[in-house]
Amino acid sequence: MSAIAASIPLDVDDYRAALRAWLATHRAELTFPPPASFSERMEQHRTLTRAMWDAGWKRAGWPEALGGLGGGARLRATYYDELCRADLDLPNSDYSNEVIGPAMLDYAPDLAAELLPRYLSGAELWGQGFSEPDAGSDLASLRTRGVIDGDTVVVDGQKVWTSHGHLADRILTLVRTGTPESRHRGLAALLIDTDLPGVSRNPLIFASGVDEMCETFFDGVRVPIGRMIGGPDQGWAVAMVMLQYERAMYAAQRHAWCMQRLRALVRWLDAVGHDDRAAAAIGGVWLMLQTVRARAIESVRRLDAGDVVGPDASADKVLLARAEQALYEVARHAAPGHFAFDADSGGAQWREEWWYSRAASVMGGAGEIQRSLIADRVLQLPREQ
Amino acid sequence: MDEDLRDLVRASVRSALESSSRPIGDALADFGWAELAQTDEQFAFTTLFETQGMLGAETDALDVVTAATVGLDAPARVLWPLVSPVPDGSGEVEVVVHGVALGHVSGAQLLAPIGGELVTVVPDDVTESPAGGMAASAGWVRVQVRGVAEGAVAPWATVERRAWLATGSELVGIAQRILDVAAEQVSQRKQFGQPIAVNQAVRHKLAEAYAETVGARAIVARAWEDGTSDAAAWARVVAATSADVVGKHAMQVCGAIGLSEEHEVPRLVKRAFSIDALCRPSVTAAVGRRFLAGEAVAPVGGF
Repeated sequence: MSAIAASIPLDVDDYRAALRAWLATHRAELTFPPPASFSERMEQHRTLTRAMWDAGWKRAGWPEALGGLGGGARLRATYYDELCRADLDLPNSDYSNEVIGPAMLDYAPDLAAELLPRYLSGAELWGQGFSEPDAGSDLASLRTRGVIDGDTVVVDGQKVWTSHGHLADRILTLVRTGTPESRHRGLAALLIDTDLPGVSRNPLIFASGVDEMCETFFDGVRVPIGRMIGGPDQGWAVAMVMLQYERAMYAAQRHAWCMQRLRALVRWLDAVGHDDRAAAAIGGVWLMLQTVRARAIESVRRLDAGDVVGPDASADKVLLARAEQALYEVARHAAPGHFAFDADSGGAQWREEWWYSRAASVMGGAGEIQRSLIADRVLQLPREQ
Repeated sequence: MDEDLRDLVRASVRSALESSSRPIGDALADFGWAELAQTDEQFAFTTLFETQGMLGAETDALDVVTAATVGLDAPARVLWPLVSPVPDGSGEVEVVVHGVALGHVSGAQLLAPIGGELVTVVPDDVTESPAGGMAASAGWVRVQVRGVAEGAVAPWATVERRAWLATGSELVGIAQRILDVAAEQVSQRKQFGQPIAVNQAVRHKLAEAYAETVGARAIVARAWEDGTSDAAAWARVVAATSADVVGKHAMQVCGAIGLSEEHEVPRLVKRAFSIDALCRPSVTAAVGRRFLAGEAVAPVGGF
């Protein structure tokens, strides 16, 4: 660990240059053939994550208490940026590292020191259990119960749309500790091991045909109270910290991945053929992505400086969803026949990702919610009386 | 530069732009704008042009800052092309230049982009006509100059990059003001017993307008940091597209009054149209073609 620490620069510009050079040499061994299944893709992600943690690069920007090298959000954003630039598949877990990690550090530092390194390093895979069949945009209406019984929390209920939840070792779950009417005040965050008795999971098949999410059932699951993150009524506060980081970092990560997909799209169009309009469409997507990037850079700098990233970050999510969806519309329109029918990995991949792009304005806060947040909290428009 | 000094600059710029009695060049000189631009060019340009946009002020600040950039003391008139790139031609030869000037050209040093340079043109014959149209209130003129190209003052790319960033900021300022006006109006005007603003469709349009505006502001800022002409051109195009969307959303939610000549929004929309037509980069399809040709196009800025 000290050998790694010595060799990786923590000045952002130096780190970027050093990582870029290292990836140029090593990216071949970190590049995998197209996975045959979602679980195979997730295994590839874990292999990549382990390699990058062992080599030290992924440790930059995480606290030393977690096995990190220190430094802040700018280093982490640079890490994701360079992975994408090197045409490596950004692991799904990198997104949720950013959502779960900082909140755990804030509200359960001892638990974080003990367990988070396993997640960051790729040794384990974690998921997030928030949404329920009756609680999507209205998350504060969630009903999965957490009843404190001595040193145990007994969990009963159901979560849905848990990303890679059926493959996860642990799931960060929001449960209701208060009365059914307590909304956001009566919630707690729990890290639930999926091998506990009473946890069962069904994969959900997305319109793309990919089983990348699941529904999770909790039937009398006894969770040690030490796995509570924050207090029994602090679940919403924990969720707000998660939201804060997700607001700042997701756009930074996702737009970089979209730039990679844009390059891949260009290669595919070059191979299958396209018409003249493709150039303007590709340029349009590029400009949208640069706009997202411009905002993400500001948000990450604010995070890095310890400043709050506020509700104006909903603008970034609106811009990102627009860009991501526009990217896949280019795939659809520039080569419609190949897009619709090709059985080879090119067409099939674009179809699969096109379906997922529709989720860009739905998952992680639907576009309508983002717009309402801007109207309510940023523009402060008067509300209905 | 500390925040107090920045606030002072912002106030001084605002005063200079609001005062119609002094030419903007003189007003800016009064508080040392040119020196400020040498210290922090991004802040100086962004403040000046975003404020101009927000005030809907129609000055020839773009000529003033261009003269300062290329080190000229005398008042200058740039013959701005409507679309980049610029015509060919160089040296002490007779040239015919068409462009748009921000005001009458007599009495000013004439500058035109020719052959990749900003060139001094000594006119033999000048034909001016009001630009009219969207720039009717701004006093812009369409100009044809027959003369001699006397010498290069600066590389055109140096001027063009700043003109893109300046007009980009102005478009951001226009968008911001349009949004502010629309938000205020829908918050005040009532129908069916409630402010128009309570309607989700209206709220969402203005939310989108907000996202457009802050996105444009951010890419202009990153383009300054980035330093390349590419980034400046992209930022300029995004700023124009955003102002366009904001204008349309605002006119929609402001209803009929928002389409009357007396209303501030159409005046701002006209200003945005005019500025967008000036020195407009044509890069969207161009960058797409670069991708299709296999070029590794670098993104704007870094974390």
